[in-house]
Amino acid sequence: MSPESLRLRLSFLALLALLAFGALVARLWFLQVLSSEEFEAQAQSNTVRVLYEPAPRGRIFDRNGNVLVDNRESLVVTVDRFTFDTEFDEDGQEALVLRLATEISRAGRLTKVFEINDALGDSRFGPLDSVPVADDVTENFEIILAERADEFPGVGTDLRSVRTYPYGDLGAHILGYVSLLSEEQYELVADDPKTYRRNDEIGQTGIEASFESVLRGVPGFTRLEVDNVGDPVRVIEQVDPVAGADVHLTLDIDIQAMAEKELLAGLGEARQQETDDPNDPPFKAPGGAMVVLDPNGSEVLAMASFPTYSPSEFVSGFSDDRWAELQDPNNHQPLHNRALAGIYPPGSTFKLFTAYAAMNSGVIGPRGVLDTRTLYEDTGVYVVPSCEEDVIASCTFKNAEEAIYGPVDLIRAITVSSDVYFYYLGDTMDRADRFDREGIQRAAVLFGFGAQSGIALPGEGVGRVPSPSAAEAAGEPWRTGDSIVLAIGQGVLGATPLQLANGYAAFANGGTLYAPKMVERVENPVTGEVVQAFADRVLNQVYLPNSIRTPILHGLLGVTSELEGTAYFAFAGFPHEEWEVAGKTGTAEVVGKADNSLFAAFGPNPNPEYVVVAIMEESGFGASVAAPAVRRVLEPLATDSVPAVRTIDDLADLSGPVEGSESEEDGVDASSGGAA
Amino acid sequence: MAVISIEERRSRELDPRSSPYAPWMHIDVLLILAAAGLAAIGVGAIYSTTRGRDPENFDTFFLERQSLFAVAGALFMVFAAWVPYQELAKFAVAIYGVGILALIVVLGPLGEEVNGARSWFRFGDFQLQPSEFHKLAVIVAVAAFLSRYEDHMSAPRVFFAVGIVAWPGLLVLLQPDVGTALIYVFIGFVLLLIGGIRFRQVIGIALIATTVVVLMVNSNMLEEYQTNRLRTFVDPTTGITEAGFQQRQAQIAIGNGGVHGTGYGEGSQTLSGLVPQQHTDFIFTVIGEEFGFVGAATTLGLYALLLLRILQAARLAKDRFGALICSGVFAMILFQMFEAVGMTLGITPITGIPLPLVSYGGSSAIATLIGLGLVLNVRMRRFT
Repeated sequence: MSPESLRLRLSFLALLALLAFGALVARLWFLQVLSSEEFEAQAQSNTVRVLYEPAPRGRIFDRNGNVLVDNRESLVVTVDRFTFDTEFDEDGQEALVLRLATEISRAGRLTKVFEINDALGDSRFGPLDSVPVADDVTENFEIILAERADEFPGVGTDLRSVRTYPYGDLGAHILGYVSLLSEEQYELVADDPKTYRRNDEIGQTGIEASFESVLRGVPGFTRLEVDNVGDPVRVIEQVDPVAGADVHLTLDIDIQAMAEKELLAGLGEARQQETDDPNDPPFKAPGGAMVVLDPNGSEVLAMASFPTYSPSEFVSGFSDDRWAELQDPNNHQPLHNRALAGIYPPGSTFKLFTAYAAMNSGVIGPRGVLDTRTLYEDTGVYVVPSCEEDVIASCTFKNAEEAIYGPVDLIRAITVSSDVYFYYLGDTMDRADRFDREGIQRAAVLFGFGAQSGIALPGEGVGRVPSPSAAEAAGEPWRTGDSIVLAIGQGVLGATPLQLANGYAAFANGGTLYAPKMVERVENPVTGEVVQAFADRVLNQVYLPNSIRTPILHGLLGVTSELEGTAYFAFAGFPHEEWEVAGKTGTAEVVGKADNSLFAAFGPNPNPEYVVVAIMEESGFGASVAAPAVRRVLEPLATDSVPAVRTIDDLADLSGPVEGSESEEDGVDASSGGAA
Repeated sequence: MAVISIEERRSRELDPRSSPYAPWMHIDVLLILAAAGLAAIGVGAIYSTTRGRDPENFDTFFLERQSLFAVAGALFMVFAAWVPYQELAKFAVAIYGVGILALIVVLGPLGEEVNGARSWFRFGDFQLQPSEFHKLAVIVAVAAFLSRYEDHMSAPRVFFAVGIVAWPGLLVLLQPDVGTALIYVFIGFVLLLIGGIRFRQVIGIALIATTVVVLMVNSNMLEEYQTNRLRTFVDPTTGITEAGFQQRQAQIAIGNGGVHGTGYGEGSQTLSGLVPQQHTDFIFTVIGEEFGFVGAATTLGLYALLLLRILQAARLAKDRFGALICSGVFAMILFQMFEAVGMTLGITPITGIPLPLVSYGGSSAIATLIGLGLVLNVRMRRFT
């Protein structure tokens, strides 16, 4: 072989090396220069573990500093999914779950196998997460776990902060509840600075929902670098959790307790009533609402809605069946806050606003069809003059129960609740050209009807104020009959109990319509420093001179205090001298069902401090059901004898000594028996 | 070389010790520097991945041992360069015989099994891997055999040469250590090429080799982890086998280094110990992660320099024997470097081959340095 040949062959080796180096450098360039970012991210996720420490949620207080919603620790059993999936075959998994269910139950917390299986199958948890499978487990289980750890690989316990409700279900609709984030909710809050994780809880309704951003704390976290077996290598970053802020409500838990109790009692009484005619729909009284406001600022003191629910049910989550039960219309939707979401025809309680509209637009007045004190003959039937049936819908409108009140002026018309008088007003406003045809609608809007009041709670209803212009715009006919029934708060007109109460509050305080206030302030839970204070918010200033307000007020005062007042008997024995109550009954017709019973009241006059509105579905006359219930709320307020409500813990403490005294009595009985 | 005056040159020629033809005038300093640089990088990288995480109390065990190996290797290198290489031809058969004996004995009860391969002898705290050293014996033996013939090779000669390589190759395969066996194959191929094999002979050998490999992969001769490695390489999505995990973690480490690296001792993959066998076969991932593209390319640059110098020594060699020795060492280092770096980059399958001079391990370091000593030897004596 020639030296040239050797050279050639060595060159071939050089070429081979060149190719090898070319390949290596090209690949190196690709990995380290072109796709380095991607690998850096992978290296991060490979080695960086973030451990979250949840922050305690802010508490909710009433106006007197009583804690309505607090946190407590719950011992949760967790199963590490990775261990569960990798260390067991199917039989092994089944056996472990059975062991777990048995031992957790034996330790004092009943748990079923399928509950654990459901929890383990929850798609919100990743393959490396620890999945909570049972909560509120007793400490006994922790001891079992410590003693027999080898039987429960991957099983651990965790203390979780959960909501607790010292006053039980009181104010459930206002407070709302928290539960695990749904998939859609997670998408919404994924970028929230308060870092939600998939298995976090979020306020779903009530204050818990509307003040979610305040109540939720900022979770702390430890960013750890871990090695190939998951042991920490070093702490990269540590941030302590920041507790959520406390929310102080305007609510008075004592008044709330009273309102809920009397609403429930009122509905119970309603169901006891007999119908006049067996063919009339029965008094089912399935639901209702009561609202108590301070008219000076529209602070919500109580807001009851029935049927109600238990927010503590949501703490440990519940079965799909229970959820379906809560949603079932046949169960009258207990999660629904009727006080602000229920829309009802206000019936005769609306006459205040019709009266205001009539006076304000001049229908009642020196140049109107009637003056304040002009007597109008109530014959029991209002016959529409020069009536054309199809234009007006009907030519005759009767009083409820076919009552005949004879001569009535404005004040007496309110006191006795003469529909005929108000039919006349409605007809006049609709047809007399010299008056504002939409005077009633305008007055209703001034007093807050047909719009959300802006209370800091989710799900508020808008209500409906029908008008000729709106009907025209929608291409529907408007007939004089619509105006006539509007005048007595019937027809399409719809208002939430809160709207009605707020309208009365504006009248009571002399014409200022406030946005109902539910939250007074937000406080830092540690320092007590006020983070945010909520001032009164004026929505509207209603023109309400004494010349208009006084006659209407007199009419309303007569309702409770005069013999022919519709709520006279409901308020018999009420301390009228010290505490004058103005009120108005309402009996709203609902097609095919028993009437809704309403009562709206405020007192003491002349400087009212409370407005109370009650609405009870399918319950009959306002005078016979709603008015007595409102009276039972007003009387303790008037006499300053609202009973202090006890927390569940207080009640538990009380029951102990009572049992002791009972046994003592037994002893006395026994001895006395022996003596005999 | 610096320009010197004719007088100076003459006076030097008169003095045998300063004769321009004297061997020590032709010591390849660049080769030594490149080797030293690689060894230093290796010691540094090994320390980074083995020192532990407690800054108060770093573990220096591997650092000290690898430094010791480097120094010992340097001494062996000096020795390998000292004795005129032509003398080696006389001992080629003896060296080869001892090596084969060692490879047989290691398979028996005297050998020690580590990671599923019976490749080591244990002497107290030290282990000796005969297959590392025998590569050199094979190089010398084949070089000695082929250098006897100046003309092109006949088929029987080719077969004899293949046999010299094949026997130890098969013994290594029995350990089983496929990676090292492949080094033997490549060394044999390069030596035959430089030795003057004909094109049609190359094709014949290639056909036979391919058949053997296919039969091996499909038989039960390979351990499961070895076929897994190959399968994972062919299709990385075949599930999370250990080999796939290793290859992915290695690439993540290198990719994580980026252009400039995370800095010495700061590599998160390295710190977390996510790359298995990182101080030995996967040492390049430490360099890639902590020194980035700059460091990795520099390391490759040192190899390029080293290989270039070896190739030059082969070209300058006085005789065929010298040229073949250099080519064999070239093949050994090139193949190991390409495989040990390539597998961390995901372009070659995973095998248990150390990165020459850089990976932790005494046998490999010393054997490589002896090989380099031989190359120095050939170059130094090109005029004598």
